[in-house]
Amino acid sequence: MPYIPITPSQRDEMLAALGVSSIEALFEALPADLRFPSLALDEGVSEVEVMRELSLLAESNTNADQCLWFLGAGAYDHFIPAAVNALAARSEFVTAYTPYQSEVSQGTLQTIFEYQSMIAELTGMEVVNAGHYDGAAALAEGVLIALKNSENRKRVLLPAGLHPEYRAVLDAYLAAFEPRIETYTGAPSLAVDTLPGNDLACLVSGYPDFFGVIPDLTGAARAVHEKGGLFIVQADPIMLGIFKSPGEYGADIVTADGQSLGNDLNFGGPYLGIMAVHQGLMRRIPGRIAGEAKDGLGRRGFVLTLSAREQHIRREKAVSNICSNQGLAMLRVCIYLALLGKHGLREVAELCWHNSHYAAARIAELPGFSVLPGIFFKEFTVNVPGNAEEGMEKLLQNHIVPGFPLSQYFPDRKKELLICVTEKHSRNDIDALAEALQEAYNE
Amino acid sequence: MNEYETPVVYELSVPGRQGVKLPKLNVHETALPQELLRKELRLPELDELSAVRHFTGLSRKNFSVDGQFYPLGSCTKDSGGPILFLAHRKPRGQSRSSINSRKASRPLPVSRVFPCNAPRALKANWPEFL
Repeated sequence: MPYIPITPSQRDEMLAALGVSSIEALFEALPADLRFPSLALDEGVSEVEVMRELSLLAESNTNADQCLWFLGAGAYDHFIPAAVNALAARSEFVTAYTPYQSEVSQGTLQTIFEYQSMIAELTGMEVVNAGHYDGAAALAEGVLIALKNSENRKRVLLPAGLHPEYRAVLDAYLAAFEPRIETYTGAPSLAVDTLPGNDLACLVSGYPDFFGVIPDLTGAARAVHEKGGLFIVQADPIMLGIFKSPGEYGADIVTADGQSLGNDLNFGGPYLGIMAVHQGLMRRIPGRIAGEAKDGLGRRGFVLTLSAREQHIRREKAVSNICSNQGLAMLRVCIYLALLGKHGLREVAELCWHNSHYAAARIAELPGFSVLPGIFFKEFTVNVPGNAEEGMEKLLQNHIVPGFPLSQYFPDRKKELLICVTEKHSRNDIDALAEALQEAYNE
Repeated sequence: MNEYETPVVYELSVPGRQGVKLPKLNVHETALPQELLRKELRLPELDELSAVRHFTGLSRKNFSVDGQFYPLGSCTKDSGGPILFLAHRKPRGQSRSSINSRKASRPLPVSRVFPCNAPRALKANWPEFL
């Protein structure tokens, strides 16, 4: 589009009004050598040409809708109701400024408030902010809350089943804080048993972990609190549609990636980092929070609240400096949860459970295949007879993406595939996967 | 522009309503671990049209570049114009059904699916790019 729409005659009119004879005269105050630099840009191309170029580029992308898609590993192909796209694309949402001025931002502020209310219910927590860059960033910010809680507590316990990319983000966020990061396996409550009582900052648990396995969270909060640390749960928000909320287990901080809740795969981002805490951490949670207020006439309205935590009030004391980046991703989660609601989200979670367990059972029956044990949600690890990546190459020829070969992160796990099954898969899809797996790995 | 109050989404809730229809389960059920399940999930219950009207109404309570003159926007709002909204929805290739009917006509390399392989793929293709 032409970014500067002013016509020559309008320009002349403006110059005349200023009493200046030309553009050159208008900028006379600037040093001559800085005036009118040559920008070495060509004239630009038409919209027709731009769209042709972008379409060609887009064609070399592969997207989930083109394939039988069983890949998860942190980015999930869940169903998105049409109304989410239609509503979130409204330009009153898309082209609004960040909602600092509440008088002109009631739409955005109320959606933030509604989002917070629904996420509080889903996670079983009391205070929710309006978002981080993604689940990994939210988790890292959660660990930072724990590290800043006390100067002497530097020990951070991470589960061995943490997403390797989350670990990389954590390491980057925490580099300046000199934490003592250790990994644990098994139940979180047992992991802190032998620790000294004076240096635990926090323990993190997946719910489920990277491999889809649901750990036993019973007693974890009590054990972590006895050692003086915070209990942080990184959850799959779809799973919370049927499984106990982390709040019921006594979590202090819950983080999650909101991509599954109405956000497209987007080739890996933008996503939404969800963070929820209990009341006691209200002044330590970073990010934006909307609250209910009354205007001068006593009418209900919404405002940004607890702003003293934020960068635009006291930059040096801010608990973080994230801003409005994820506003639209948050809006999509809000609309998604409103549309799915109480019964819809439960149905989605149940479909994921039954479909993935059917798939696991079906694949476990194939000669040479086995499924790793453990209670899992929507994702499970399969041992295949042969090199997982090589078999996968063959499946991709038929546009079947069977899962995530674990060798991508763990070089010695060459025979394992992490398979993700959601509510979008039908019985036919799953049967087709099982048949294709048998064919690809038994040649 | 906020002459009126808009009910919050919970106030629009009517027990039993649902905004979307999901596929019927067509595999056999697998017992859920009852002791791990939540007792209740207090999300609102709205039909689709109520939700659409609710969020459309909320959008109208925003001041926006597309709606009004807006001499702000240092970091958050540099308007690229409508073409970008069209373009970012562009990577929608053929549907799976049309692909299945012309199986294997276009092979799909692993590098296309896994970004972690991208540097390797890019290197392999360098001559084309240069």
